[in-house]
Amino acid sequence: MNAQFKKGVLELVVLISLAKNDMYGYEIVSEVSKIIEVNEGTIYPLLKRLTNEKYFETYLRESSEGPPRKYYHLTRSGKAYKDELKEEWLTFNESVTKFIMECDSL
Amino acid sequence: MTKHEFLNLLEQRLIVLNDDERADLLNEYEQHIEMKMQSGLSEEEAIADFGDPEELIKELLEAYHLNTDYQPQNRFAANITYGVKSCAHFLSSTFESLCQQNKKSLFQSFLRLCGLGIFLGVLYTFGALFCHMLHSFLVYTLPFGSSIGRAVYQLIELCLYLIYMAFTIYLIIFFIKRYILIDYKPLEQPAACHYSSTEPVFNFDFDGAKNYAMGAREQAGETIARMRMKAAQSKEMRLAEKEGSEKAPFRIPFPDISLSTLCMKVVIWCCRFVGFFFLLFAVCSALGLIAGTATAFVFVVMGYSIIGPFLIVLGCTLLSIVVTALLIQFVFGIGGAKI
Repeated sequence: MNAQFKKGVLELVVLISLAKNDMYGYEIVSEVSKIIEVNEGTIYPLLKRLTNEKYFETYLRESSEGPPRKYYHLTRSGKAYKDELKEEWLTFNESVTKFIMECDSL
Repeated sequence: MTKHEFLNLLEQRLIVLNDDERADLLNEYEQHIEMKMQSGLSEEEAIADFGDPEELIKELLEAYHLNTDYQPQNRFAANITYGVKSCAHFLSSTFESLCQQNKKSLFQSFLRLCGLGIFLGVLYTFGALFCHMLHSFLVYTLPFGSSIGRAVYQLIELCLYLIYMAFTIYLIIFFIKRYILIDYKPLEQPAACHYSSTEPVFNFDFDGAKNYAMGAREQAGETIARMRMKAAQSKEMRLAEKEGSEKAPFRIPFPDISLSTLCMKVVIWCCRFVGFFFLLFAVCSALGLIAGTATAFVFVVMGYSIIGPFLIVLGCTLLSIVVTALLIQFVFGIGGAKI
């Protein structure tokens, strides 16, 4: 799949996954991998960036299977950003699909 | 690649990050690899899923708005190079400034330098005097052997010399910076890393840091503005002087001050720079030394031993200092009492 498509949408997918419930790094990666195939290593930088920009909050929770895990939580500004991105994506998707249907029918 | 190799590589290349950030990130990756291994993959496979490590590092650095071409330098070498370069820069700026000045200000600088030399010479004299007295005290007066006394004296003398040298160098640099270099811009420090954007990058209090940085920047801006104004003013003055001397082409381009004015200026500058009392003491002790040496010389010529004249010199110096102090105290009323 085109790398540019994936890059653009990855942020949106991560935000929406976290909107449902808090998850830790590995969990997020597996969730996202179900939707789009992506290099797992690149999700962590994305998580870092979004945390730096205050869209996520992190906290540690003890786990029964090893060291404490870092959980990511969507902040209010993160939620607003997610809604914004979702709107943009839907509008974008709609207009591009419409264009394809009109000009380049399958 | 093993897990250790992978994590070490990341640690090296991310050295520019905050320690906590880096540790955090490496922790996450380690946990991820562990969990993948738990779900059945081998170490190699788990790491292979990350793709090319270089690409990964690049993306990580981009997430922090850092220059992706950064390679950690040898800090020690960089600092030494910086030190040497800034010395060279300082000296070359000094010479440049000196060449740019006109004759009048150059002469003034020379006078100031003379004043500085006088001050340092006087200081040295005082130091030598103190050393002599200390020597006598240690070697002749104290109960323990004269060899120990001499050793202690040598040590103290050495320390005093070092302090004197350091002070001299500091004064000269201070003097150059204050009076000769006007537009001096120190070299840039060796950058620890290069930021490609001006946004704050580390995980800390953004707003607090922004406010503080803005306040600091404003202050710095004001200081810089003031300095620039001063520099501009002094530049204008120098330009005006230059123009003045150019308009009258038949005047000899030498400062037209008489010798007495010159002397007065030197003395005044010494006073201002050195402090009135110190200069007075210096003058008086110099007079005392001269008088004492003259008398001592007479005595030596007449055949007496050296100890006598030496004591006479010492006595005259001390006497002049004491008399001056009393004068200042009572006549000028500086200590509080007044006749």
